[in-house]
Amino acid sequence: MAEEVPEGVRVAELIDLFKENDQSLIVEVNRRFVHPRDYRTYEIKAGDQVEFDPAGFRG
Amino acid sequence: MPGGRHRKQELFPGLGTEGQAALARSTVLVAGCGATGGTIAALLVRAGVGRVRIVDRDFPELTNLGRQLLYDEADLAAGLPKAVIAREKLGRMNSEVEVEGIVADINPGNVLDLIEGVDLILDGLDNQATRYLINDAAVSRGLPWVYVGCLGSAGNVMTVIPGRSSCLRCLFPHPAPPGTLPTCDTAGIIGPAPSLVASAAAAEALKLLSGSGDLLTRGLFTFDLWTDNFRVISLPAPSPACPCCGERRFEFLAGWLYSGAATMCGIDAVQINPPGAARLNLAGLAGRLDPEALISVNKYLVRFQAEGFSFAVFPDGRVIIHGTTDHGQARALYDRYIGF
Repeated sequence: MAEEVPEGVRVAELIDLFKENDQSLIVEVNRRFVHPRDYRTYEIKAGDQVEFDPAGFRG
Repeated sequence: MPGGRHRKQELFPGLGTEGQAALARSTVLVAGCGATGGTIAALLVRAGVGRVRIVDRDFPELTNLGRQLLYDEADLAAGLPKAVIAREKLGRMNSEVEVEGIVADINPGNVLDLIEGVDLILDGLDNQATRYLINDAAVSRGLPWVYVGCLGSAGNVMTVIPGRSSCLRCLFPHPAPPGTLPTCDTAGIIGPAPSLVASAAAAEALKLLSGSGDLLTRGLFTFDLWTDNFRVISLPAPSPACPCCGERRFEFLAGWLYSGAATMCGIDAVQINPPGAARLNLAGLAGRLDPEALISVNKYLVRFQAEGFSFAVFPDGRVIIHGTTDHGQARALYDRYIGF
């Protein structure tokens, strides 16, 4: 599912917006990992592609 | 004929005869021998890795058979632990490989002994806490390890080279609180997911052990087989602020952050670890129990039923209690029937 998001929105705001409350969330922007400590400051720019994935901890 | 078994593998330019010889000189630990660990172990034994040590705490269940390729219906009836079954079956796959099967729960008290002498650790685990423990142990010893996780139709693989690549705590500094992660019970799982993730991990092992470490996947391999989504996510350099590889605070290894109770993946059960080292006299325990409650007794475990719950008791004092996911209830049942 792809959705447009406003430029300048921060990763933490996107997590809230899309209710991605999984505690083991992987956030990537343009196929680069975003560290959880940067969620509140990392701003999305025009053309960025953001993906949310759950990390698998089962096996 | 020793030279013939791996002929086709040796024809692969990435390995060749030198790479194959390097595999034969290598030792790996496969931590956990379920869906992912069992497939990883089988691939590495068949590939001719010299010594494969497998550690698993569990025994096969009916709900495992849909994805845990090492086990079959006869194994359910035999009532033996997975590590014992796996050692026998893996030994039949390649008698040139030294296979060691250890029935144990990996915990702060034994993990350093279990990784002693290995060149690489592969993650076949079914829980988050033990992965953080393996991460601590591997980084503390400078050992590479391959994180392998899956759920549903998706999976992740990441090779950790201490000092050179991000470790698990660089990415996820703190484990999610108990009960907050999806499990095989809540999200389900399909067999192809662990098989694919295990194959990717085995390939990482072959590269690293054969001397092609420069070709290791640089990042976090992630996929979802249901949505046809495969990619490698670039990772940052190891974080100086990482509690594990940056600050070298091995909190899981020290036992500070390691719980004695764990919910088992895919089954309605909790494992309880006794505090400290313990040895249980299984025959003595079986003798104390109501004979009608006993399901099976052998040298590896005693199984019995009580109060509508099913217990599997191991010689190291561990108990897997089926019929609950409530840690408090499981601890109380442990205290009642086994005693701390």
